[in-house]
Amino acid sequence: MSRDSIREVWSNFLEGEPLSEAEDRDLLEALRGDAEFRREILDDARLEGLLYVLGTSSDAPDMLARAVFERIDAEKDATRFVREVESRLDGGRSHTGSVRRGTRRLPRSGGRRHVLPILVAAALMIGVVALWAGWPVGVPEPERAARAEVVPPSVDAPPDAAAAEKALREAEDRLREVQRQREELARAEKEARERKEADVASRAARVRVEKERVEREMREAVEKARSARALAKSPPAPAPTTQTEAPTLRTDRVEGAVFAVRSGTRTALAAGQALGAGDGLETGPGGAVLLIYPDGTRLEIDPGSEARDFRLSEGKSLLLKRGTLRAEVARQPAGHPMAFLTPHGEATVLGTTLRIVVDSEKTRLEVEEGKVRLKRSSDGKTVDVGGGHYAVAAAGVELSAEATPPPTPALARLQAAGELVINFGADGTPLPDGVLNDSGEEYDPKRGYGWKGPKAGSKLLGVTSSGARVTSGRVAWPAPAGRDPLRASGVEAGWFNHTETWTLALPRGRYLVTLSVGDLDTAQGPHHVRVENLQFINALLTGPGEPVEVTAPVELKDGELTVVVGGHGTGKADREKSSGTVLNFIKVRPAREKR
Amino acid sequence: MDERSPTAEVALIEEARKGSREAFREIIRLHQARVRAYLSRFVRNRDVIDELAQVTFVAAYRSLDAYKPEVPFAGWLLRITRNRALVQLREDELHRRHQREGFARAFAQVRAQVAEADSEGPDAGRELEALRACVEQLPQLGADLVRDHYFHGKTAVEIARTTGRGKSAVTMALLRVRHALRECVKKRLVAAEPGR
Repeated sequence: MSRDSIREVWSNFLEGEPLSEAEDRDLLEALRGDAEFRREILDDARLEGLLYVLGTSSDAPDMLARAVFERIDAEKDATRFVREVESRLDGGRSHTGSVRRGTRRLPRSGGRRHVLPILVAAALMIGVVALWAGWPVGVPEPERAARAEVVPPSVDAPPDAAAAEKALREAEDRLREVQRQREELARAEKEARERKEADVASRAARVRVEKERVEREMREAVEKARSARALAKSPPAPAPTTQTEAPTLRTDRVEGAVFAVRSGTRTALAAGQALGAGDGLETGPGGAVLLIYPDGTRLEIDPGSEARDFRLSEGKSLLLKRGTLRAEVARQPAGHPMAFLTPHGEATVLGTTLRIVVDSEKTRLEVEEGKVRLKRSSDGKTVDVGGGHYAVAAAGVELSAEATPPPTPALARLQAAGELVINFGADGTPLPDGVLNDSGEEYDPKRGYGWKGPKAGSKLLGVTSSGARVTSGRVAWPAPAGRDPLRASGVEAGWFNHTETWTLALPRGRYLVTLSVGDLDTAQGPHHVRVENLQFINALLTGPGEPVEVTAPVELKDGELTVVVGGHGTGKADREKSSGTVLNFIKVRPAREKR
Repeated sequence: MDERSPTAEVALIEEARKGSREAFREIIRLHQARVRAYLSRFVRNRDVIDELAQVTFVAAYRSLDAYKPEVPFAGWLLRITRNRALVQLREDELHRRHQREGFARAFAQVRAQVAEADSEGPDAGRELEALRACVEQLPQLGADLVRDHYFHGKTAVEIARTTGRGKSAVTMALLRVRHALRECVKKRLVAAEPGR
């Protein structure tokens, strides 16, 4: 077809004339194969658009202004409505995590006069947290020194009653202080909430979040105080079983809730304390501990574990009833291997690095280096597991050594750097070193993260106000050149009332998860994000240049972090919006509070 | 298209920030043609252009506090405009997945790619002003065609009927007029470049 003929077909297309199949094909071929023609029709279409704009009626500016103000008023009404409802629902529960904003969103007059109570509340909150965490923020030296002594005495050295009483008094003093500040915080929050301006209500939501955190920390303070009391009142430790089994299993590092179990009594365990022969140990959901034997053998016990009956001399052993441990076993004396007993079997080693995971149904042994013999309890069958291999002891599962699959890139990154950052954006987005990317693709076990279902969904979700038909799935875009890639790129999903699910394979445990939603250049939302069972973000509107980051601890019980994106609440803004939720990035790091 | 001195514009923005709707109405009046012109680069449907112009100005109103006077307001506004257009194009991209493979879909994708890549481009306001001047210079026949088709919304068939010409002749005449206007606009923009 000649260039003139193609141009005529193009003109008909611009006129909205239906094209025959042959014309459509010819035009398509010209578009794809003729760069000059492609430029020509792009320029032509552009000029045509300008001509239409030039022909816009003279009252167009006034009509546009009227429409703009109607929309602004409607949005304000919607926002006010949503916040009033949230306020009545006892604080909304809309933002469960702590929220950080880049800039203030709406120009509002008179908002600053309400900032003072918020600042007071924030200062109190910081004070409480600092008091708890031992930060030297405005805390007099003597008080800090006193706090340092609150650590429960060593298990292997029975506590002096007077010292324990002193520790208890100090713990109770701290508890009272936390309670007092909590009440002040509640008062400040109440004041803020009574002022019903939307801006203040939004900040009050953040105060509520912080209050919940303080309350959680307060409960932990209570637990500590009780532990100190129990320790003070507990009977002296039983005598060692033999003179050679001295209580020399040292706790080198303790994070979160870790308890020594001796004679049926649980006592909080602190770094530097020791466990004796026959003692047990439990870690809470966020607890972890590193134990070191005199010969240098190291045990790392993960959250949610229970170990019993430590034997410490030649022929070391322990019973791992549940949970996960990793062991670096120093060379053991010939004939005296170290034994790891579980409800499903027994692993014996002479010197190696291994990991054991025990749940109610099975024991999984992973050997990093060396060789370990795993014996299944039910039938006495054994298998030797070498470095880079694993075996599972469980009913109905063949006992054999299999090659350990390499960790996913995500898990490898988390293990290597202590933090995992996954950007959401189109592939090819230049990212900082170590940052992984998700472009909305379906979950891939080799990658270790991704979305449920194909990227291009087929379910029709609705029609936008501009007439576009929106379907399920995800859309990714890159960051424009020169912009912050983490915050300027994005993956959008969950239009209308639809939800999309993203998962990340992670070991069970407690993590601090940070999510960023919004757009560096464009207003977006309302955003909805649920992480595990936690509603991270609910109907949040973000303006241009103000992506919002939300951080909260998440308890992972199933080896998979689940993020549900989209879905709508019941607010007017939700009903009227067809936009999806825009994810910028997710950060994950283990949540282990040192003490 | 009216132009105001930067100082006057900053004063308007400041008033709008304080809540003056009249000031923001004036901002809309000053910039609406530029915004629409910019949107027309990527979007053909005039209703969609109107819709996007509205959401652009709503977004600008909500973000006035974030605007820094040392940055030209028009550029700041066009960045918002572009991003609104990109959101629209991405939604359209979803829609296109249900269309059969064909020219309309492929052309829309090419325009979307251009939009994604086009961070700046020539000033839409200047382009529009150049076009206005070029239209005024058109011979009568061409000027009538442009007026009837683009300003009064008559289709090629309607124009053919009233002028006694064939429909194909009208569409080809429109094509030639647009070509002439493109060349004219290019020359005017080049001539207006600094240093000439």
